[in-house]
Amino acid sequence: MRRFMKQLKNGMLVVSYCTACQKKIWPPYEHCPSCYRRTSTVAAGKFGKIVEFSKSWLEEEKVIVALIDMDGILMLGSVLEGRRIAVGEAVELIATGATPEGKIYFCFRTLDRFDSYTMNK
Amino acid sequence: MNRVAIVDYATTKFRKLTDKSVYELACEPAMEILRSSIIPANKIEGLLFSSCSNDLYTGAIASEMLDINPKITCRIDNLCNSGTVALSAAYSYISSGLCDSILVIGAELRNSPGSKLIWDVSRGQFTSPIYWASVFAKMHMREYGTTEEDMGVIAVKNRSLAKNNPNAMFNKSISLEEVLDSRKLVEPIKLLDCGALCSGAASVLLVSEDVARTLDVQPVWIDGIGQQTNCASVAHAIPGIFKNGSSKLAATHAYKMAKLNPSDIQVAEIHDAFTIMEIMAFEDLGFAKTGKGASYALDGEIAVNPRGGILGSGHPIGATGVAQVCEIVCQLRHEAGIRQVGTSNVGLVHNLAAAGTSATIMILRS
Repeated sequence: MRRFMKQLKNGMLVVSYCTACQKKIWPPYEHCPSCYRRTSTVAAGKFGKIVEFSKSWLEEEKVIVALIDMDGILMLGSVLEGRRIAVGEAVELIATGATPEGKIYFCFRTLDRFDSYTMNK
Repeated sequence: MNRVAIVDYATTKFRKLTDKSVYELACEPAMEILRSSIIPANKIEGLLFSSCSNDLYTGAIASEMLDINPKITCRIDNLCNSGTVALSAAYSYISSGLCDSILVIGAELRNSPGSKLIWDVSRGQFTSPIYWASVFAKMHMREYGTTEEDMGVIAVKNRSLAKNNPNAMFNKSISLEEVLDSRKLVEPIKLLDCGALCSGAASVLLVSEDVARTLDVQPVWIDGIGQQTNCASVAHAIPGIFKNGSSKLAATHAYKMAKLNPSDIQVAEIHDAFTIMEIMAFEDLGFAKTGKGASYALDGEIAVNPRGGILGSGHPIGATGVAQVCEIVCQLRHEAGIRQVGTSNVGLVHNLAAAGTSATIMILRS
């Protein structure tokens, strides 16, 4: 969790990784929950897809909130409005970090066709 | 294994504000039980304190304040599921023979840290429970066709039932239109779809069968307990939430232990911090088929949330599970006055925590 927070503060999303089990661990911790060996960290990647989404009207978080699946890593993030937002749509992580108060965030945008093409390349 | 009976119960008025400490608040329902002198304070062998407050050593402090010298005391925190977890711990202490009598107290102040789970980074900036609840609601709507009206019906029902509960925070009926027109929070959840955090306390006295036989009160027996923790994070909770969530697994354990089926249950208290949660619970508890929870609210046979549930009574987190048990004991002893539902003798309590990552089911019988 310490390594995760350190990277997050630099704008990088990493998850724990067990080299023995070849498994990503999320939320991240220092050991693998299957074999209890010490984990390393790997970048989570940039792309994912929308599993579900909803609109928050709350003053402090007036955004589209979505459940994002980044290759098996599930998280609640915000998705920028403007492009097509729908279940199954591909998204790109464009900003992540932690505020000085310790509030962490994952911000995504939807991809247009060209972006998806580049992503698959 | 010794049988365990609940022989007394008490709940405070649930309210927004109090100038009491969590310790003082906890003593309110406990003193009500001790004043009735079913068992003198100096004969009580255990005290379990359910709370998510930051205050430390609550079990020992409450014991001193109530002049109890328990063999066993501890504080139990399991977020919203704390009260029912404390009850199952009390059951285990008594059925194993470590104690003959235990006072369980649940107490919480409105500003408790228990409504958020900061450890869970998979929630990102969306730390409040309303966000995962909105995802559950959207998924249920998409998968099973549940509507905002279906959810609104639950709020109307539970607020209306709370009118007959003098300890409930809300005592006014609301219409379906009022629910649907209430302030939008996180789609599809509106203000009146949500339970309100509040301050409150509840207490229950449990004894072994041997002790129960010596008392001049009607015992209510704990016939089944199922407790299941699947995980702790939203990331792990969501896959399979409608198929094999902790509530469903806990219910299976509880029915098996009590040798009963869902159709044997006559009255139930169900965790309804958000309206969608009650619809999902109907399915998890086997009251309705998967995906059919919404229609159960209209034509179900089991009386659900007679005290008004969380939506009507308010949600003092660590006290909620204990208050749910108080209500079912009250119903099974036919002491509920104007909110008594028939002459039930088998009841169920369902409680859960943190996006349904853990759940407890208790089956009680008079």
